Amino acid sequence: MPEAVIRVESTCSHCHRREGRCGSEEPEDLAYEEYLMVLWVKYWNRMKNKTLLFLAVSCPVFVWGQIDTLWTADIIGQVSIGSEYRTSADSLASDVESASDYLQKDSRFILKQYSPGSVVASSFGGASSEQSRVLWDGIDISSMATGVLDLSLVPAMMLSSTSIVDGINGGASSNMGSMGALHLNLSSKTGRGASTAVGLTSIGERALNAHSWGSFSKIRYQSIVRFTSSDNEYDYRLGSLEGRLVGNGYGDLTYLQRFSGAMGKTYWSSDLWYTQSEKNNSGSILSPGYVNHLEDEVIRFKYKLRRGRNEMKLFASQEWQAYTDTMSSWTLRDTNTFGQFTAHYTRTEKRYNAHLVLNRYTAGGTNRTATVWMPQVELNLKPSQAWNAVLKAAQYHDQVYWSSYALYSRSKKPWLQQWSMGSYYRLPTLNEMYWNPGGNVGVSAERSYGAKYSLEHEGKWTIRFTTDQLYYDQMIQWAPGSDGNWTPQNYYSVYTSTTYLGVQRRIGHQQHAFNTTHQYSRILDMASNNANIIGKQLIYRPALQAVYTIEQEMPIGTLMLRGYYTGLRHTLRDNARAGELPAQSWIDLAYSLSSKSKRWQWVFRIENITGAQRQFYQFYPMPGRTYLLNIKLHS
Amino acid sequence: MRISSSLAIIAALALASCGKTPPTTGPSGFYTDLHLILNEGPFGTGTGTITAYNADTVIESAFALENGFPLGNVAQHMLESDSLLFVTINNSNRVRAINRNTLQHKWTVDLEQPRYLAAHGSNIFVSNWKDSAVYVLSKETGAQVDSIYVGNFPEQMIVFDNKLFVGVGTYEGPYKVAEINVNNFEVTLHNTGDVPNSFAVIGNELFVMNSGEQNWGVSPDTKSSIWKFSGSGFSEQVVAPNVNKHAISLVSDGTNGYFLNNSYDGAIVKWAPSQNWQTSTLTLPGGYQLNAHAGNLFFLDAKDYASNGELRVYSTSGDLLETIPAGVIPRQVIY
Repeated sequence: MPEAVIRVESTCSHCHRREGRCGSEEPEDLAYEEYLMVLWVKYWNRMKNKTLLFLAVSCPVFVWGQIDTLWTADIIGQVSIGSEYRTSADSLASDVESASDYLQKDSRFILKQYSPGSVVASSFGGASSEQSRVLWDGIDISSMATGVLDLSLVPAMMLSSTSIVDGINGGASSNMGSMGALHLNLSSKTGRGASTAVGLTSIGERALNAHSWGSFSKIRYQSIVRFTSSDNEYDYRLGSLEGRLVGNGYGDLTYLQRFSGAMGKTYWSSDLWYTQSEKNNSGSILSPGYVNHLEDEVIRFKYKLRRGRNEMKLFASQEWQAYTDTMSSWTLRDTNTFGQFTAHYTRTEKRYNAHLVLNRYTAGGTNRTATVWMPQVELNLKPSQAWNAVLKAAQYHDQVYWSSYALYSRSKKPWLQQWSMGSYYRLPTLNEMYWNPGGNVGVSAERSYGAKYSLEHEGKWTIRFTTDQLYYDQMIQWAPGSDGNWTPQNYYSVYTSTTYLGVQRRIGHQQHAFNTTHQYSRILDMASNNANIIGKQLIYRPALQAVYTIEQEMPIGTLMLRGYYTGLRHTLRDNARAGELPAQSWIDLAYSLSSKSKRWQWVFRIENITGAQRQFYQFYPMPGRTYLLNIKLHS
Repeated sequence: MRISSSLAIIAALALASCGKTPPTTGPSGFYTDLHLILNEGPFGTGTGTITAYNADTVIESAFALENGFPLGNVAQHMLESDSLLFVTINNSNRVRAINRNTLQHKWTVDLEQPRYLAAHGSNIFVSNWKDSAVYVLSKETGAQVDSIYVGNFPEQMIVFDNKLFVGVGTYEGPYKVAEINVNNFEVTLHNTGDVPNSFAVIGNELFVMNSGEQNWGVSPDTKSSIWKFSGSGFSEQVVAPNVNKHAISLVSDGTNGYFLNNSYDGAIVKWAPSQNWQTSTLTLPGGYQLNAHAGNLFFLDAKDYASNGELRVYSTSGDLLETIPAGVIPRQVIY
């Protein structure tokens, strides 16, 4: 019995862990029986022992969840992903924090942020923000206007323990990324209940998360309201510079609402996701006193229908941004809107899954008005248990882009090995094409070609090792063009190599979890007059990131110690010393306590207990020692 | 070249750390004979820097090296006067005075959105976007002596014939040149072309380069032009043949004018007051700013604006004489 199949059939959609690890829940989808039966028959002879054991010790609804996984992102069910270890403190943090705060425990996550809570540019495993994609239930929601999605506005509770699909496997799971993808989803809830989580920090942050779920008239519902705000004021020390950072306050509101149910044999679900935020940025400590104010409002709506082998998803979103910049003598006021409509049809067959997608992107506001349609076709082939392949094509801005991907798996318990390779494209965004001034409708899509090897071991030692090799051609960069105007250009050819190692081990009452990511990048060629850049590392990418977590069960409560290391980063393209961000390391300590019935839980956490100097941008210091208190009540 | 530069830096640092304590005041110091390049630094993040160099020495970030703190965000303009350097730092809202010979910090005053500098007598003049004024500061202490309202976003300045001339209207009209009496600070506004950018004295006459409006397709661009001051006002001398490029950085070797034929990516063009607008270039494009000194042209190439640039020294006939590594977005040289 091929291990790859076992992995698919026994993975839970809620926690994505292998069988027997999840204290799972009933599905929201009770009308999906027909499809379930097909799968049961199909695989019964091959895996009946395992299935019986699974049914005996767990709950059948896992399989429902797995089907959902297959539906939403076919290749995701096959590739090596690796599961994070969530400490007790992490569990509560995921109710309170944003995705960007939460993901710092993963060395694959590269964060760029001016101060806590500010706008986030992020990537996974060595890519640029535009090359890593964020997907919601399989729909790419990264802005085609800017290419990025601000993860400070995404609640961490939309992350699962396997949300990051790293390297080129992530690229294969999204429509236009090449390196890494983050899959968001709202996990299903059983029965009815409510929880309230509150967070407070010593730099003035206040967070509230209220979550309720239940059913009425055979319709399941979940409602989540999340609110955070912060004065974000703290003392800083950066070399010889000392002071107090002020003027970086923010506030944001998130509302998530899900309804789901069945009409005969048709399962349906609708999701509404609304965020509103206001963020101030007072500039670097070398230029204090300005107020740059960003207001952002996004409403996203997704409706899903599923019957038998067919699934239809409709997604619509609209984003409004207003930006006021007082850094120059003019008070700049920009308004931007971005809209997306996606219709996504999926047909699942025994040997393949086929996706037809139609996207419509619009951008409006002060600096551009544009509409682009992008039809896509994607075919996920499963010619055998060991092989998977993905063929994709998209028409964008009057050009057709093709890409392909292949995955070979070989497993021998407790080991799993995978080899994959593929080609990718990163399409220019609407801003890159139509921004006035400077937009370049002639800029070409970035092309990349990659290969990946993954090795996993499951047992007392949980080990995961992966390495990605990618060659990028025609990377897009804004620079002065031949007419003197700043414009996006196809600037670089780049080679990147990203290697990840994750190890988990339980020793007595201690759980150890370590993960590290090494990144090597070199610019091979470029189309500008600056030959000094050739042979240099891409900016804002640390050569090494590592996180080590130790969780100790105490007679009362749980103690967590977590150390972080981020290596030296360059901020100048020629890697000049003047632009270096030095390596930084810091330590968090958390103590969590909960009632036996989990009716209440609280976590007291000290972040950066040594007050280490940290910055993600030059002269934007992050806080020193910070105290946090998170409390959750559950009914 | 890189290795030799590095060795030179090490040697210079070794010298500096071997007991040679530069005087904080006085006629000479370690940097007296070094030329200085002002680098803007990355916009928004990072700091401006000063690169000090001579024939066998290049010292990066010389100001921070001497003072232990960064210069500030977006270094805009530098002026040498009476053995002092004055630097406007735009985003940091500061004007600093520095000992020219030692690069030791002397004073700093807060002034919102300072742009360009000029000096006369015991005062310096600082054009300022915030109040559309020219501030008058004491050279010695930085204390404010006066402020002179001139109108719409004053930019570059020059002292000519005991008068201060200020380009007014950086990016939007009305475009004027303000003539300021340096004794009583009375202002007279003169007409000029669109977007007065830079001044140069050619053959003892004052010329102003107007870049022309760059409107990014919102409305038509306007042409670059050069105007001459006649004592009572400015008059148009030549106009660029089209609006495709916006000339900047007019400088002079005393006899002829030289300018970059385009903002951000200009090539050097030679022009004499008797000529029509010239389009043939002495160099390849790539220039961000142009300076002139002692018969040579100093071409500041900011490269991709996200890595270190370089200074290229050309003869007035366009021969490349020297290349010096600079910091991020180099924009000015002090000799």
